[in-house]
Amino acid sequence: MPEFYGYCGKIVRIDLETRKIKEIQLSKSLIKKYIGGSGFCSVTLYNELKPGIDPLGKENKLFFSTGPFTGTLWPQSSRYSVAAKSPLTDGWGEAHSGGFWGPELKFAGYDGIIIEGVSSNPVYVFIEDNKINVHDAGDIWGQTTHETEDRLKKEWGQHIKVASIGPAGENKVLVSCIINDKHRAAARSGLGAVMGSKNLKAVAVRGTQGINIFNKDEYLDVMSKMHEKIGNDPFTETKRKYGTTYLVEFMNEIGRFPSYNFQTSIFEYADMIGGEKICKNYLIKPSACFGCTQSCGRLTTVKEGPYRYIGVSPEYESLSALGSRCGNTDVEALLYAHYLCNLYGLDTIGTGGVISWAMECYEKKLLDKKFIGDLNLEWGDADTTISLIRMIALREGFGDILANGSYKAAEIVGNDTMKYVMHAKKQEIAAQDGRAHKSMGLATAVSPRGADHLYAFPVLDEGGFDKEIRKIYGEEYWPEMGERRNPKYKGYLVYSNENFAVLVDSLGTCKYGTVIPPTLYYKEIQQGLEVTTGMKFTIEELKQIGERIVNLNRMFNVREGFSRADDILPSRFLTEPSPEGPSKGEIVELDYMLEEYYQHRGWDADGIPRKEKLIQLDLEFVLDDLPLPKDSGRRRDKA
Amino acid sequence: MKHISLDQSKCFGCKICEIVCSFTKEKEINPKLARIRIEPKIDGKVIIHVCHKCDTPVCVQTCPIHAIKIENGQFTLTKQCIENCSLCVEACPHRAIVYIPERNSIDVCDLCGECIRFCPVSAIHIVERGGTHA
Repeated sequence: MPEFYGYCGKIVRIDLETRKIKEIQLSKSLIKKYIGGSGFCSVTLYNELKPGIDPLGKENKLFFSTGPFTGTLWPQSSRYSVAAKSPLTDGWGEAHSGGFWGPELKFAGYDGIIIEGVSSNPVYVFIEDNKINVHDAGDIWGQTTHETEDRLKKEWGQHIKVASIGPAGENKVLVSCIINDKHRAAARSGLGAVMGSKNLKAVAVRGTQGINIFNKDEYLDVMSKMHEKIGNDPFTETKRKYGTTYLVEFMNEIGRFPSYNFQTSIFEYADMIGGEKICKNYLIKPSACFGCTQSCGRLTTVKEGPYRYIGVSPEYESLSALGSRCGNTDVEALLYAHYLCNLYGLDTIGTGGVISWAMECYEKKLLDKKFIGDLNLEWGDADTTISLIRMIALREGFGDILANGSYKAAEIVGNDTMKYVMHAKKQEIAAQDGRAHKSMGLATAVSPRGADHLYAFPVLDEGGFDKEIRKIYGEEYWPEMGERRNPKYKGYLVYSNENFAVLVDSLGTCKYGTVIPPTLYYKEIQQGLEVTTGMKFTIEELKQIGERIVNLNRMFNVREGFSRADDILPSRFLTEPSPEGPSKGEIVELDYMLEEYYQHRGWDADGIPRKEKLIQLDLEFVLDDLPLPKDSGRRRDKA
Repeated sequence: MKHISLDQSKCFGCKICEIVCSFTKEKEINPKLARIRIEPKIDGKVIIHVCHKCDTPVCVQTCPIHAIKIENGQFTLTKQCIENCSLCVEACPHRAIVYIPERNSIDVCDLCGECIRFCPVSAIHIVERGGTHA
C-alpha cells in the first residue's frame, strides 16, 4: 500500500555546485501544517535561508513545489509554486504558474525540487522518472525560452515539459520570470534572475508514474460534483469565450484600468485593445492548462505584418501593462510585445510597469539624455515599447537601467523620478487601481512578495457579491464590505482572503473557480483533500494553515528588516485623487484599512506579528527572529 | 463500428479525458496509461489517439503471437504479451494502443464513456465510423 496518496512523497534537492542530488521524504506532519506548494516553499526557505543573503548569490535557493491537487482530477489542477528570496524586493519572493510542467513533475515522481548553489557553467536539469541528470547548457545559453524548449524536445522527445529562462533571466534582469510550456509564466518576484544567477537555463521533466488516489470508490463522483459546480459558475462561460481579456472593458467602465502609469484609470482607447477586439480578430481558440475546465488561455495570432506571431494569450494584466499603461493603442504591437516578453522571459507586469514609469518621466522631462540617448519615450510609441523589451532583456543601453525594475532604476537616474514609481516593496503594481477598489489597495500594500493582486485576490467587493459576503462573513458586514470604494471592513476581507488564497497556492490549484467567487471553498477543499489524500482536515485547520503561511511569509520579511514602513503605497494612490470616471475623487485610505488588517492578523501597530499569535500558529521556531521591542520599526543591521 | 471521436473545434486541450480514463482503467492518475490521448497543436488543431475499431486492424495482423482478437468492436488480449514487444503499439496508425508495463499488457478504449461524462465542453462523442461532428 502506498504511503502517500495525492503526493509522490518526496522532494529532491539538487546542488548545482557540488552536483549532489538528495531525495527527502515528505512527512505527514509537514503536510498537516503546510499542505504543499507555497506552504512547503514558505517553511523550507524560512528555515534554510539566512537573513541578509544576496538573492543572486550562491546562498539563495530556488524551490519549485506542487501540491496534492496538482496533476489530479480536481478542476484546474495544473499549478506549481516557485519561491526564493526575491532580488527585486530583497524580501520574500514567490510566483505561480499553470500549464503542464507541474503535473509532469509529479508524474516523474517528485512533489518538488530545491535548487541550491551556483553551477560553474550553464546547465539544465532533466528529470525522467526519478532519474536526474544535470547537463551542460552551453549551447542553449542565450536562446529564447521557445528556442530552448524546442531544442530540448528535439534532444529528449516531444513529450517532455520544460520550464526555462530566456536571456532576461540569464542577464539577471530583476523583472525576469520563469516560463513553462512556452506560454505560462511564473512571473513575479524576479525569480528568472535567481535561476539565471545559478547558471540554470531550464528544468525539463518527463514521467510515466501515476498519482495514487485514496478513496478510489468515491473519487470520480466527488470530482464530478466539483466539475459540475465550476461548470455552473456564472463566470465560466465568459472565461471560455474571452479568457481574462473581457476585464479590459469591465475595468475601464468602473475606472479601475491603469493608464499612463496610473495617472488615470480610464483608457479612452480601451475598446481598441479589449477582449471583444482580440476575440474577433486574433483568437484561434481557447487554450487550457492541465485539468482546467475554464480555459482562460487564448491561442492567438497576428497573421501578417511586422508583428506576426502565433502564441498563447495575453491576459488582462499584460493588456494593461504593455497597453493602456504605456498609452499603446496598437493592438497588434501589444500582442507582439506580450509574445516577446514570453520569448525573453520577462514579467509583463514588471516590464510594462518600468516602461510606463520611464514614459511618464520622459513626459515630465526628468530623464537626462545621458541615460536615454535618442530614445523617443512618447506615450503610445509601440515601436519604442518593443525595442525596450529587447533592450531590457539584453541589458542594452537604457534597458540596462530599466532591467533593475522601476524602483532601482529611479535610484540610478534620480531627479525626482522616484515619485512616479508605482510600486509596493519595490515591485511594480499590477493592473489594479486601489483607488477604485480599496481592498485591492490594501492587498497591494501588505502582500509579502511586493505589490501583488493575487496574494489576497479580494474580489467580493469588486463585483459586489452580496450573497457570498452575507454567507461567508455575515449579514452585519453587508453592504459596506461589498462596496469597492468604501474602506470599511476591507482589513477583514483582505485578512480572510489572504488566508484562503495561500491555501489555494499550496494545493496546486487555480484561483479561478476557488477565489472568484469562491465556488469551490473550504468545504469542497476539505472533501477533495479527503478523497484524494486520505487526510482529514477540519475547516478550522485549513484556515489556520493559510494563516500560518501568511505569518511565515511576513516573518521572512520581518527578519529582513521589513515593517509597517514597507506596507506603503505610492503617493499617487494616497494623495492624488483618481481624476475621472466612477472613482473620481477617490484615494486609498491605507492607514485606516491597515489598522483593521493588523488587528485581525494579531500584529502590532508596526505590523510585527505578536508572540502569542505566532505561538497559536505553532510557529515557535520563528520567535527568535522577532525584533526587540526597542528596535521595532527600525531595520535590523543586515548580517 | 462505433468509436470515440473528438470535435476539434470544441477541444481546448485540458486533458481531463486522459486523467479520467487513466483513473477509470488503472485506478491511478497517469495520463500516459490513458486509452484516449490528445495532442493540442499551436495552430488550434488537436490530434487524438484513440482506438478507431478498424475494419482491418493492423494490431491484429502485427501481433507475432496472434494474441489480439477483435470481435464486434470488442478488443481482447488472449495471451500474455511477449516481454517488451510493443510491435502493435508502434504499428497502430492511430497510436491508440497503450502498453501497461506493470502487467506487461496492452489495452485500448472500450467506449466506457467516462471521458464523455467529464469533458467540460462536450467535445467527445461516440460515432459510427465515417460519421463526423455536425
